[in-house]
Amino acid sequence: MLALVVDDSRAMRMVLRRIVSGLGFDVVEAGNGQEALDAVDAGPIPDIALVDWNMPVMDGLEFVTNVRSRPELRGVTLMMVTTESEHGQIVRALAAGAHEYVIKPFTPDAIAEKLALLGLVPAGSAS
Amino acid sequence: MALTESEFDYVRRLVYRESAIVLAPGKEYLVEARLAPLARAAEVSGVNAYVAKLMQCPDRATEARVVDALTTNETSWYRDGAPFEVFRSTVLPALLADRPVNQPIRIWSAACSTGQEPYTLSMILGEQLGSTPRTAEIMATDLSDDALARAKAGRYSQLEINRGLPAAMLVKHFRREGTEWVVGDAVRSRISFRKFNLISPTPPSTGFDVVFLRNVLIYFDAETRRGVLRRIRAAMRPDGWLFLGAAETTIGIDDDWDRVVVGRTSVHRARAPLATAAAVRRV
Amino acid sequence: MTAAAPDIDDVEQIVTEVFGSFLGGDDESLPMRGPDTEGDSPVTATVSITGGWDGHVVFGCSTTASRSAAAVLLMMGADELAEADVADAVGELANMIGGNIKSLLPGPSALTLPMVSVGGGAMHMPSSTEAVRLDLLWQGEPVRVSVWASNSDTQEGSTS
Repeated sequence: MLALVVDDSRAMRMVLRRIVSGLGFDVVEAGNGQEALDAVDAGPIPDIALVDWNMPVMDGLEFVTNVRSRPELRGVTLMMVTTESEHGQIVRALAAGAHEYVIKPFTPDAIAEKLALLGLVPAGSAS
Repeated sequence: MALTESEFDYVRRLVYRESAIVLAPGKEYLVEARLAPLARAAEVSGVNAYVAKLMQCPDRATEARVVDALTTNETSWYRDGAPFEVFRSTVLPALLADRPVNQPIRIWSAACSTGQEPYTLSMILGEQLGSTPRTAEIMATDLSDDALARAKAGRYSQLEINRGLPAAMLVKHFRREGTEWVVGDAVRSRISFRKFNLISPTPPSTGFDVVFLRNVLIYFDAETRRGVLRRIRAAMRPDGWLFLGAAETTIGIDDDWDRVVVGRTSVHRARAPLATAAAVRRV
Repeated sequence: MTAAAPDIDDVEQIVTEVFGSFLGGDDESLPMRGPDTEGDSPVTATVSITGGWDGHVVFGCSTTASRSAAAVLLMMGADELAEADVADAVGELANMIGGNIKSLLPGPSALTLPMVSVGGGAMHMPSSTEAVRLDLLWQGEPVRVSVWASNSDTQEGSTS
């Protein structure tokens, strides 16, 4: 299983990399939505993308919208991981095609439980 | 400083007497970790002094706080989501087919802790019953005053909300207030909260179609488990459904239950008299 | 109109959750209320909020605190850290704190990327008023979160 971690902060990419690689994923990183699209196009196609919202060049919402518009990427699960926590922002992200949403800050268990909801790791994988 | 043997023993006996929960030797660390905030709040220097003081002059309020602190479980929404999925996809449709339209579906969340379980059940019921004339009632009980007060309030921090609550359910059923998320009225309206100790001889009500009793039996000794299961059976309709935790079973404790495997999980049903056994297999 | 301001206890709750989640979870390592300090923080990261509410959230701390936080987040020794690493880590803390503060205020609003000043002087907040200042101590080092509300009344007050 391959996870694409998309966040403009290297520190946050490190935090997420530690968590998802601990759950058995291989990890590819991207610093913004455009880099993430480039990574997807260069292949291999990830099983899940963990996507920040506010990033330079291309933000997470635009990345999600772009991925959802491409039928060949239908198999990519999209999970926002962002500090955006207004009710309306979560609604927007889900409407754009995000499958799940984690609000920063989060604990490792929160990521593991959301991945379990999405069927990507077995239930009870939380450390 | 670590608890002395006599201090640990005192706490162990107190918790057993009040809740029938067994604190095995080796759980000293748990007692220390859970009681440390109480000691701090009481401005006593350390857990030792806190327990020693209680041993010298026992008072009901402090005893209740200690039992509370040691019997409240961390919960998350869909952690181990399989039982909720089986409830939604199998149990609820079976009940809706069996029960008269004007009869509410009755559910007991028998150790509801801080409320995530009954609220999750209520959200599922809301989505499944939708605009049908069917209604459902959830009784949510817990031993802990503290947990029950938090459950009733229905207010959760962002960190709690992050714990396994599907985002679609969050935006549909919660609103933000300050740093917290608050459960909506429609979800609350199906639930009544009540303090209840599972070791008490009479149930809080009877005629339940479904009982959730997850990750509670593991804390009891065998004799207590048997008694709890018998009383729950008596509080359920004969064709009701019992959900236990993933690591829990009725086997070898109370053999009047059948275990029905559904998908990745299993549900327990009171063993039917032979004449109606065929009906059970319909699952 | 009176500009809305977040409650200082809510701001503290947010900072506690951010530090507790990413910078060591036990009670002793959480930031505590510290004495009000004069002067500016040597390291600051600022995010701006625009929309339903206009203003800025500034996360400031000592050089030592910024390097400790970066070392934990990036799993590096404090002596291995480049200035960019410290700026990245402090910027992400400001992003998380600012985004959550935004949700306390009238919305919808947008959040900017963090602007970080390491070792520089104070960030100037033209035409803004400090609405909340929370001084904390983390591992004995000063940490400050301040919320600045834009004086938007004067800018938008020309409706006839």
